[in-house]
Amino acid sequence: MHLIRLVDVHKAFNGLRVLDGLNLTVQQGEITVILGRSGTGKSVLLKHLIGLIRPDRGQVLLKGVDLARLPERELFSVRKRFGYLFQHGALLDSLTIGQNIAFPLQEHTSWPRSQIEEVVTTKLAQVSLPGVEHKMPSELSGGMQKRAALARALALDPEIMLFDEPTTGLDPITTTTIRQLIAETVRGLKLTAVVISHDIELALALADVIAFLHQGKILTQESPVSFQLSPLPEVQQFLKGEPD
Amino acid sequence: MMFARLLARLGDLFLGLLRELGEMAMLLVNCLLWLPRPPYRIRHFFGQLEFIGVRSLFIVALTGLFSGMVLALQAYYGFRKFGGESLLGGAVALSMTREIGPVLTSLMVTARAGSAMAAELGTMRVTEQVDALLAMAVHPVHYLALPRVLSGLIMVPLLTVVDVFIGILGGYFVGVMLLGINPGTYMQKMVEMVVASDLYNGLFKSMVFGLLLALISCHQGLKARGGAQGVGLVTTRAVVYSAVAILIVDYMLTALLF
Amino acid sequence: MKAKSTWGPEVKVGIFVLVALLLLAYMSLKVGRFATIGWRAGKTYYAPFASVSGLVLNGQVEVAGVEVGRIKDITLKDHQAQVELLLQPDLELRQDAQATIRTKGMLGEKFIELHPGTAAAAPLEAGGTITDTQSAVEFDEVLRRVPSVLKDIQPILSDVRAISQSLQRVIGTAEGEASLKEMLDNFQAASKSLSQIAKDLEQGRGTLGKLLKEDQLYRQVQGTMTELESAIANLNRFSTRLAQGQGTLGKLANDDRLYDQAQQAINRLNRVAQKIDHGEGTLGKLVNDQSLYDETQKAVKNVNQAMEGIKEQTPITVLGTIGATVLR
Ligand SMILES: Nc1ncnc2c1ncn2[C@@H]1O[C@H](COP(=O)(O)OP(=O)(O)OP(=O)(O)O)[C@@H](O)[C@H]1O
Ligand SMILES: [Mg+2]
Repeated sequence: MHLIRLVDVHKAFNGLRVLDGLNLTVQQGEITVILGRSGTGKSVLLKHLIGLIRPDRGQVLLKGVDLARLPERELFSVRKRFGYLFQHGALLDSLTIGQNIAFPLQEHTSWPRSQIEEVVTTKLAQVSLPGVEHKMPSELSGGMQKRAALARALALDPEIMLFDEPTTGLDPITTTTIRQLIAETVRGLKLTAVVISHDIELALALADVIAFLHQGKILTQESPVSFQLSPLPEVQQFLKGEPD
Repeated sequence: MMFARLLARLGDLFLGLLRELGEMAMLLVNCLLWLPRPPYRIRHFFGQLEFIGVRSLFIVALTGLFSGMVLALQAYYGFRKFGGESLLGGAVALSMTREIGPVLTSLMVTARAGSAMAAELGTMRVTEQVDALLAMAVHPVHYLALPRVLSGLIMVPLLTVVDVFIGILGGYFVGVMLLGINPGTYMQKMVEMVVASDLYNGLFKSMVFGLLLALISCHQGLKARGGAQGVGLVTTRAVVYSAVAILIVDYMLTALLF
Repeated sequence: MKAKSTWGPEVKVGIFVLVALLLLAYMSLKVGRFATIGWRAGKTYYAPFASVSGLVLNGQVEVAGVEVGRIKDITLKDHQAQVELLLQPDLELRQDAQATIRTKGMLGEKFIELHPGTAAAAPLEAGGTITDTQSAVEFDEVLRRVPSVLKDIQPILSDVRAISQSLQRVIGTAEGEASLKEMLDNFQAASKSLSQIAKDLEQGRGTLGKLLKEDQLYRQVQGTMTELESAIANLNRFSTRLAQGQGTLGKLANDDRLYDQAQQAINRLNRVAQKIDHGEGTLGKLVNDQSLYDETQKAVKNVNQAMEGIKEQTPITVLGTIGATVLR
């Protein structure tokens, strides 16, 4: 069953056509990994899924509802069902790490403070960042910020998780930890995830479905095994890392 | 050809101005719409009150002191020409309550807090923190603009009270201690010439200015694009637009109120 | 959470707001004149005036220079200005109370001066009307009347001169000594009054001259003065000669018509002089009222200073201008 379906989505910035007739389906309960070269518009695509960017043309259907045409106010209630990890973390720099992770909980739950603090501690431990609650984001390294942001995205255990390059800039050991965390969370709670990555290994290990974005279109969308065997030259070039 | 281009430029400017005004009106309306809705982030709000109010206190007190003192000197120079030195206290107090207090306070708060607001929100915009708020289903107007606009509305008048009070003290110091005007006369003329509505109209003005400067600064900040350069641009704009708006609205309000 | 050594934002904001509100309350009390709240619930009286030009709501009401109330309302009633006064409750007014509109100094605001009345009269209950009122004497009104008064005096003075000249011609006859004696007495009285007037006028002349910039007016005053002076000189000469017993008065004794005319003129002159001396009429006030003279001199000085200030054309700085502007 499709949870999300993008139909013929077009998006251009100042004449630069980033998405050019893109089609994509995301199945409920699956992890979809989107691969593609840098600058092809993966981040732009992901922002379409929660209405941060609206398409110039085409539909972004969430359970049949077109987010592209949804009024701003209804978008807000839709967004509560998502967890979003930004490519650069985007932690609120006026709050401590602990406050950042507690932020969605304070906004959308009426949990008591002790419960929120407990969740913060647990999530930070899950992303291997114990005891940084009182640090400001600027006191952490880029990779640490990314993991704290991941903890924030997971805080509400959202139905649908959108991760923009969750493992970029992390060491191999932490990368594995994060990969396992995402896999466990999604499969354990029967959630849905869309993960953007350049990392082929991560994609192959994590994905149920791999979608390949090239020149504004999804060239192919298939299981990791068949993706590796894809006859498409663009895919093969990407997999082998051959220069143009 | 040249002329047509000039006209087009003028039209662009005018449309740009209209768009800015429209966007600001929308921001204000949005703030009002969000105002009654929970959650009420009290701590967060107090943080803004402190930032705009308490932390501007020193600079506002300083400008108040010196503006009162220089007013006394200048008014003395003028009044001496027709033997009206005794009116000095009233002149200083009137100028402070009606004009100098509200305007200078607002300009100082613009310089100190308005610029900071624009830079902070601008940075949040270009580092995707505003997008992050949206993604967490928190409206930036509700979380970022509303507490700042509200703080501006509340704190600028209160800062003006301090500014006016210290300005009058400064005027008293110069008038009585340095220029040797009789303290009784000075106070008497002041109390006689200033009426309560002078004070309250001045405070009303500064309330409007506080709202304006916070609104403009937030609007500019949220409009930032690009990177550090974009943030710099909107910060400059926030200060310039706020200062110009304060002076223009000051004229209009003075014409209407007094 | 670790204990914070400094105060949280809530406390700081709280202190700041409290201090600012206290300052606001203090300043409001100062300028709001709530100090007079003690008799805010006072007694109300009414007073009709022919003109209340310059009088403002909430203006002061004074008895002997002490503030006793405020002007609560000014309305128009039967083409007269009806002023409602709110007076402090312990002030007792009598039926013959007087209310006068006066000005504080030359440039000050208008206020109402009350004379509560004499103890002999019946008390005036609250809500009553003070009937004995006097509107402000406008300074420019006084000035406007001066030329017409001077014009009135001029023919009298020429009369006096004509008579004294005829008299001079007839001196030399030795008859009618008794009649002359009487006339002499009259003349002496008149000349004394006149010289008094002349002295007073001389004192006032500088001031008037400066004030009355109008050329015509100035010339009139000067003409009057010369005439007055020559008349007095004539009178002086005449009386000296009479006192020394010189000349003859025969013709005078024979000509009844001339004598009657002279007598009439002298009587008229005497009346005018007396009137002036007693301070009746505008000229009399001008001559006798020392306070008006002082006020005028002060005003002229102020005006002069202002003129000089304007002439200097010194550049006024921006803040000075603001200061002056808000004083409008
Ligand atoms: N707000 C924007 N305004 C203008 N152009 C934009 C905007 N956002 C993205 N772009 C352009 O769209 C293209 C795609 O950008 P995007 O960030 O989606 O790339 P990406 O696939 O995520 O690359 P990377 O893997 O490096 O993150 C880029 O050329 C970028 O310049
Ligand atoms: Mg990207």
